[in-house]
Amino acid sequence: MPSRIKRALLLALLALLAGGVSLAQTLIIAQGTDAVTLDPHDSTDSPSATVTSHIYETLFELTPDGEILPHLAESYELSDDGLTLTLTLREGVTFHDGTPLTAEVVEGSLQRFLNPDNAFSFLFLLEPIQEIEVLDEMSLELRLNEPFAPLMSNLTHSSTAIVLPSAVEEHGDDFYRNPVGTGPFKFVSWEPNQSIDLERNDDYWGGAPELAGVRFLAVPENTTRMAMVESGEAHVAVRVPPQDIQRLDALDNITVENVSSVRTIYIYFNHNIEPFTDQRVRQAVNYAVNNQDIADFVTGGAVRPSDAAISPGIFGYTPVGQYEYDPERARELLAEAGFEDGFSTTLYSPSGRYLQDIQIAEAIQSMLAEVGIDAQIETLEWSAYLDQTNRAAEENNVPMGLMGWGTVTGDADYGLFALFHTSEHVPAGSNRAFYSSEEIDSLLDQARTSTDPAEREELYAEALQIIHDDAPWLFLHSETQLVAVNDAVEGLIIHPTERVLAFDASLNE
Amino acid sequence: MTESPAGTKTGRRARAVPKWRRRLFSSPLAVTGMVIIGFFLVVVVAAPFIAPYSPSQQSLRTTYIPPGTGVSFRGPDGQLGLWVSPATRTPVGGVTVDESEQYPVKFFVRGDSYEWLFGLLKSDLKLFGVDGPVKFYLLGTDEQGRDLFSRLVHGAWISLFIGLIAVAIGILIGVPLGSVSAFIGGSFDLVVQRIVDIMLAFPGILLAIVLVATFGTGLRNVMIAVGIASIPIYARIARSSVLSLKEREFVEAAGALGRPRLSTLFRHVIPNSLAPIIVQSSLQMAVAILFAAGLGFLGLGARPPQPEWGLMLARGREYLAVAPHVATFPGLAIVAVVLGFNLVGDGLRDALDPRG
Repeated sequence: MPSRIKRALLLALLALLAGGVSLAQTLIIAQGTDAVTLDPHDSTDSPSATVTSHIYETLFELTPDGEILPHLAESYELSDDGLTLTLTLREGVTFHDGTPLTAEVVEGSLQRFLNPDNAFSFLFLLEPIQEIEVLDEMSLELRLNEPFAPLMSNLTHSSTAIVLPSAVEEHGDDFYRNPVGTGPFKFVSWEPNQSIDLERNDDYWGGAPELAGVRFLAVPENTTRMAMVESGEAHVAVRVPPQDIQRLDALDNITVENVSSVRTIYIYFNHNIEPFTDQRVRQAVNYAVNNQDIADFVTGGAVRPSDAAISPGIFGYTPVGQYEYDPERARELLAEAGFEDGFSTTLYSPSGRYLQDIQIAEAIQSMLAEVGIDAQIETLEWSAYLDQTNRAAEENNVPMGLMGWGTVTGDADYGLFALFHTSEHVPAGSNRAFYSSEEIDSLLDQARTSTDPAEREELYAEALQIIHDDAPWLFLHSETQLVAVNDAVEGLIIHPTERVLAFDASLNE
Repeated sequence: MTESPAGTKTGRRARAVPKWRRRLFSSPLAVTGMVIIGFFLVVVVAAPFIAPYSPSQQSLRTTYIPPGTGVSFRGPDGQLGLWVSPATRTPVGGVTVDESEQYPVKFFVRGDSYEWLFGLLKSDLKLFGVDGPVKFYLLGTDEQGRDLFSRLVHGAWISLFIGLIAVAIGILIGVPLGSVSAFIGGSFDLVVQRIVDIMLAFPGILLAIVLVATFGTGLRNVMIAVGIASIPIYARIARSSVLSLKEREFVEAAGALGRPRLSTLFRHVIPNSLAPIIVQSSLQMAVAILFAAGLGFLGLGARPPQPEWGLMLARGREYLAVAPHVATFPGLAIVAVVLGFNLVGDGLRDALDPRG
């Protein structure tokens, strides 16, 4: 009996060692939250997009430098009138189950994305597509009614990735946890709220990755996540809290990468709720808040104060100015609007969703108190927060809410249309402020359909200026991605669209 | 005076009071507990006098400064005393102290004006403060640059008040429920006690979390939730006391004299079963404060910027690696006050134990 136990123990030890060896080639990434779904069409959050980007691929690719390159499409041709996009697909691409990528598959995938019955949140990305025609096995045409300038940038969005219609049918409601893509990694397993395991796709058309696999851990606790990367339990940890940057960076084996992000953080004013119907009040709040101080001291210098409603690096971005910190001016404007003695309101904030979100909300609360505005802070858990802020006008009682928006297609249309166009009022879109301006609507519509990049840039510059003056938001800052990376990791891409990509990564342990 | 139960009761009490009191005060642990509670009560009452600064005054340039930063025991000319130099945080992490300036810390200085005792007294006198344009952070500052000591002092009433209200709710509902249940007995007792069983089956904190999640967050709901969570234990204790008392002669005598049953219960039985309830209340205060802090820690209780200790602990935890003091002091405050009530509760139990 004892010898059998000994043997069993020895075997277990060997198995552990073997596991250790294979682990050495598995890159472990600690994310802040678990993926919500692995169905790319249905995913709206960065942690999900990070995982699906390893499994699925899009027709076009947005490089970290903001360039749009054909990806699953090998070449493309946009007709002169801008109404037809002809795509020729890459040869030799197969899905993880062996099915080859064909025009028919792409058509099926796009139809699924566009099907209004599926009600995918990002439907608006491709909504102008009227018709899809398969020309032959490897090429197809996308037809529009009117030109749609952001079409190609929108086709880089991770939610437009090409899925296999036969797999959708096969798995039905379980498709979200049985992903089959064309990407460099294959899905292995998903332990909800713990980990997702991917393994190398040896048949990847772009050459098999060096890593044996990637493991994503869900570690919501900041301190735990940092402790994991410190102890080597994880190679990469996202969202380093600013106060830990110096300490982690000082460690021999860890570097804190600071990569700009396309995410803008702001506090919107609900234009249906007094007193934010008054432009002077909205401006006063902007003057009352010192966002340079918030950037320097609350986020440890890790963010960039906004000078427009979208971040630099996005097509259409033009700096249009900042509200300088001026509490005197704020008091004057409040007095003009009839609020000499200030007013009371509620500031809604998520807690733990964005970098230092609740700390930022508290700092703003204290700055507003200086000019006589008494803002109660209401923190809600993320899904409850989205539910409250997403309600239709009649039942929406959120006067001010802290939000972030990542313009992940790299085109101003995505960042402005969804947030400021009248047709995008919540719950249909993402215009939580219920902002409505005919001028802005017409500028955004024009910029959407114009095919001349220079003209589009001008239109967006004009729109950004009007938005700045109208102050539908308290403009805060654009975020920076702070990612702690073990020095053994090479070739990791920290994409400005808030995705950590391990396609070309390797481990030198 | 013809009612003998009442007569013997007063007689017994007259002899018993000094005994339990003597026992209580001869226990060093119980006295320590009372001193701790007394200390916190003084802090609650005199908060604006003891706390040198406002609990919500932020300063982004003095975030999480450790205690003792910029403090020296020698003045500019070598005088003894406590001297403070201005300390500010640089954007990326470090703290700089300007040692060219030094100001003395003094007792009884003028500070922000405040109202005391519901506006009866207006004053700007503070127990201690700095004679000069800097601030003395006795326990350092928190992540928003607020004085941690002032926040702890101003937050003391929240914890004690939650404890008090929660225990009051527990007693006011639990004791009558348990007593009546035992006194009436039969199927009524059965039903009530099964309900109590169900409530006891949930760990108290879990029950409180469920209740807060249902009613909504905020201090008031925390008090109610923690109060409801303490009902079953009171119901059980009251029931067992009443069960043992209701067969006693003085109760039978009251019945024989024609007193209505409920009146007997409230006049004779419940007053004689108070000892275990008093003991439980002291211990329950500790539990309630801990539950409230736990709910605050989970973000279900107080809202920022309220200086609730559990919330402060939760926020400070993020800074544990760089500024351990932000979480440590609220943690110690919770430990101290809970320990105080536990010690007193243990002391009371020993003192009131009829077998001791």
